[in-house]
Amino acid sequence: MSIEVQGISKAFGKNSILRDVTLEIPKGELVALLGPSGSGKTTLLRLIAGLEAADQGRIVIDGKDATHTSVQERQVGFVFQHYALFRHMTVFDNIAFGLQVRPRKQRLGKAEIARKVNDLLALVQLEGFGNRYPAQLSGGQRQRVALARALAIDPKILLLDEPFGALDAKVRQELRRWLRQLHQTLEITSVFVTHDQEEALEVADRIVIMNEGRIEQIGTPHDIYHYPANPFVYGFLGRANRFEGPFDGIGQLPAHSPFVGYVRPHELEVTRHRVEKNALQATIQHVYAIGPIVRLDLKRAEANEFFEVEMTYERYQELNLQPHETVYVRPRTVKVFTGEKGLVSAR
Amino acid sequence: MSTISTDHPVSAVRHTARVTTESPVMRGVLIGAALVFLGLFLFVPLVAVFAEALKEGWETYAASLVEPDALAAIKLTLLTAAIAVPLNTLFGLAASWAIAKFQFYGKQVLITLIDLPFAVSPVISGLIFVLLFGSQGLLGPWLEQHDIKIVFAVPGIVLATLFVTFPFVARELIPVMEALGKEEEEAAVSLGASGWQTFWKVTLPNIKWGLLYGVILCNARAMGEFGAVSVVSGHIRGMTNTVPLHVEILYNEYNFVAAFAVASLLAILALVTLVVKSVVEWKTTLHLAGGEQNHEH
Repeated sequence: MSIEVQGISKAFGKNSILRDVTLEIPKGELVALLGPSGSGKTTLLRLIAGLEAADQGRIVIDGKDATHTSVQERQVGFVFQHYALFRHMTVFDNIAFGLQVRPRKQRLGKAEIARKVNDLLALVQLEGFGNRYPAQLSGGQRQRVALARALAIDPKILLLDEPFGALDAKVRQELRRWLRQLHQTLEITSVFVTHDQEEALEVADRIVIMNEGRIEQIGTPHDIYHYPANPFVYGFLGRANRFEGPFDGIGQLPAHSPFVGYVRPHELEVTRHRVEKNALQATIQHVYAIGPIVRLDLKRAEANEFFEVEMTYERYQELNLQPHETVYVRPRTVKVFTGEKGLVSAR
Repeated sequence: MSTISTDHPVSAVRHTARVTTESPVMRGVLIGAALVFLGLFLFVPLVAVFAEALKEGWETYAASLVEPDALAAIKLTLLTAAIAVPLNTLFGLAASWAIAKFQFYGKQVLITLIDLPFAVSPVISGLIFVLLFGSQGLLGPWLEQHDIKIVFAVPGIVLATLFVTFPFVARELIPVMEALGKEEEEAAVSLGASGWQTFWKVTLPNIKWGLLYGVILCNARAMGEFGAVSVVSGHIRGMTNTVPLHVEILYNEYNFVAAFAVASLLAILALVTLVVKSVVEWKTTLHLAGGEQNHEH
């Protein structure tokens, strides 16, 4: 089912959480709401679910206005950040809950409920766990129970609030891949909230980047990463160096033109000698040489600007760099943004 | 190697144990003092109540309990508790729900108001009802015109008891509900459960031990309340006397055996309350431990 969010605004007291947010999610897509904490992404998710009411705007689910329908009627599967499993019920009863609270006429028979719950247990790879209580499960297992419970009601859309936020790194990796596969099998329109750009880039079909209650950019992971609409998106998706003009250090632009440019640390090339005449001169402040990627902290000569460079360990050894040495730096690409208009020039 | 590594923490523990523990003599003195105090102020009086009640044998004991005025007092006390406890349970549920799950203006004021009966002397609480509903009171003339008796009658006693006991359930439930948060309820609603289903299937099972604890305390106080009830009751024998008031009347008449016999009922109530309370407390800790585990990631 498709989801349309039209001009939604929401405030808690005097705090404006969402400001005129408009968003369209086509049927069957897996969409990530990505943004720093406080950007309004969880509130937007709760609004779609009907757990919060909007101050302004409309929510349309599957072509029907759902702005004023109750949570129960919307039939959305919601997976909570801390799972919110019913702690006094077994895993089986947790998953069966949504089926058992249906009005008597629509309720399935006991045997049918049991069959459905067992199917779901198999789907989330927890066969044989039906009699356990949530307290007896690991974090990853609880997360999967929460997902099975949400899927039990045959939801029109699946909403997940920081689905992997409370898990350790290894389990998170596994579950990410698993969710991706599950989405491909079920083909259910899904929205998940995350503050982890890597997670969003890896899992989602499309990413919605949010900041301070507004949408900064919507696009595929590829587009968002390679064509960020503004400095916020650029900075949020990875490490970024900011260079402020006017200066003639960066070759592709006319000398002395005032501008602000952004370069990722791995897009800077370091040489020991001035190869090109417009390379930046800098001194090495610090070297972090742990792991396959070496990070250098550099200070630009004749300016109080600091920036980061990343290179492979091989390249680092080849250059034989030492702290406090003077080196020359040349960017391979630069992103330049002007005002609100977005991308102006990139190579 | 392994012996060294296991030895080390043990000796460290021993060392800290020596530092933080008092000498055996000091320990003995402290425990002894606590026991003597408990014995003097709790155990001896309890024994005295039963000894005095049974001084003239079981028959006199039983006779003073089934005597009509005593029976009337017991009935009135049970009736009062039967009205006050369910009402305050409902009130406590509603108030704690509102406070724990919603944000609204005046929340702090509501919490303070709930505590008011704890802060006010019971005698004053009783007097308030006399001033409101008594014949000289604010609503007195109107009540008289309509032939409604509140003060010096059963309604007054119930009202006073309601007032005095109303913080117990709410006080017990507010922290429990706040600790639970509202995610489980939201999950239930998102799965299609109605408000009632959510309450019966999700909220109530989670708060049941806290609720029971509050109800027990509320009941103990409702049956044992003296001050406020004394002011509004009028002490009409067989009519407006509760068990605690009946004990006082008998005692003032130098009818010690009967007084202590009736008092022993309250003592038994207290003992039963204590036992149930410890069981519930034990269950609550188990439940909370399970809950905490549930939130561990």
